[in-house]
Amino acid sequence: MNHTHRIFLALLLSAISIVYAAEPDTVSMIYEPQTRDVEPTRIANACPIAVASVSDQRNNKETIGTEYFTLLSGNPIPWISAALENLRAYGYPITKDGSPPAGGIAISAELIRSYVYHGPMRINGMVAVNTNYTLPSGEKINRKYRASGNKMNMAGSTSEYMTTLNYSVNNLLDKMAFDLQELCVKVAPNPGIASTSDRR
Amino acid sequence: MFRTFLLLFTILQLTGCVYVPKYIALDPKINEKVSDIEVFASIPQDEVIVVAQDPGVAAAAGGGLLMALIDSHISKGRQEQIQHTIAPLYAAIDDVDFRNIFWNTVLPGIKNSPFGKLAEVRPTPRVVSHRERTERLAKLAQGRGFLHVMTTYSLTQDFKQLAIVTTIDFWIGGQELPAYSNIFRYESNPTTSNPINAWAQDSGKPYRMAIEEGAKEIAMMLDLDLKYPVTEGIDKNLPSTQKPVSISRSPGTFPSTITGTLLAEKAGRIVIRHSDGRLYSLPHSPEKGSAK
Repeated sequence: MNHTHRIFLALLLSAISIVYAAEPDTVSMIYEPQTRDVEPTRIANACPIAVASVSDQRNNKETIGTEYFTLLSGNPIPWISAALENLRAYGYPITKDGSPPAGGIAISAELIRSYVYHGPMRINGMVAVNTNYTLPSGEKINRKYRASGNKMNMAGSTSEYMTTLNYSVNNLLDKMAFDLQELCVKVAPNPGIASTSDRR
Repeated sequence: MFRTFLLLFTILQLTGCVYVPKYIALDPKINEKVSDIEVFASIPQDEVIVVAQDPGVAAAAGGGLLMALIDSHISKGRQEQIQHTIAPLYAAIDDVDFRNIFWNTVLPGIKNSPFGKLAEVRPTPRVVSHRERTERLAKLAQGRGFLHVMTTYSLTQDFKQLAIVTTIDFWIGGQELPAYSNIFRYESNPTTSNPINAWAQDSGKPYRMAIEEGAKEIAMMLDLDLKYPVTEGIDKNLPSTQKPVSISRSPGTFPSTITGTLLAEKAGRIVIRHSDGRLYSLPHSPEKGSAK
């Protein structure tokens, strides 16, 4: 490497450092259905689900946590909406109409926690959702779900923090999917067929 | 020469990640030196967290990728166990806004402090990284101050106590070192042998009360620190008869013993300045002679 190339590299490294310090990154909140610890379990007697509404009720909408540097939060609503629509992976048909489908359940979800933090060699995450289920009868049932996830901290890149949140939200879906089968029995009881799912 | 530059550059980047200034007492003539102050009041956490302890395998083995992978795997299991244990508490406190409770108590105390004339107050969930702080301080004009308040909170590893730690640093434009720096730590009274259930009872009321108490103690410690500074190793404004006290803390806590000056005492609680200048608000049982 000649002298000119060395000077250029030194200036480039300095520029990268300055740019890195200039503005915090905004996390693109994109749902990844395959970022999960275990595969979804198909739910017997899964009834139709409609995602009626998703709202962001976090008391901090600005960042996603982290104690060493700022990571700004992207818009979480498409992310949570996409996650809820992935209940289809558990066998729940998803309808586009927001009102309770015939023999099914409408979901209105409020995101209340979505953050990450560091552990030894790990990035940890937490997602919590307050869910209101509406049955065709008009009955409303409230449930809260919370799940954590974590991954090895490879390079501390922004995308790794979103991957951690996806691990967390997919663990949350596991709990929701298990819970919904009880509600589906309530909506469309079919005592002749027993549930084959034993996961929560 | 290039290798030397690259080495120095790398070291500077790495050392920028860790900076813990020692205790620096506030100059009582600060109001004469500062025309206005910007405050950056940061709490990055949305709620209480308990981080798994470092397994230390890589450190004990002298490093290496395989050891790091082992550390990571152990950390994963430990953290998942912690999350499982603490779940009932989260279920009871998912409406708690720690920042709102904390700043409602502490910010008025900062405004009434000798820091006096505040130009801006910016409670924020953002974090001022070391690089950002370096840039900000480089641009700080003469006669202008920058006050950085950073608060973290967690449960102790046995889940029995809430610990709140606030670090306050204050710089003046044109000066290289901070004009004030200290760390304040609050530890709640320990809960029972079933700590998570104790915290979570009554919709998390014990936890909520501990936050409120902790915020008040942090505000009081700042007031005491400014009222009774230590300069050149000498306690100022305290009676000469003031004797040092020593408090033992639970095993595994660092430091295990707090030794220093008693600044305040009330039923079941004391505020003590440790030998390194840091202030601690600790539960205290005089008949047992220990912090718990």
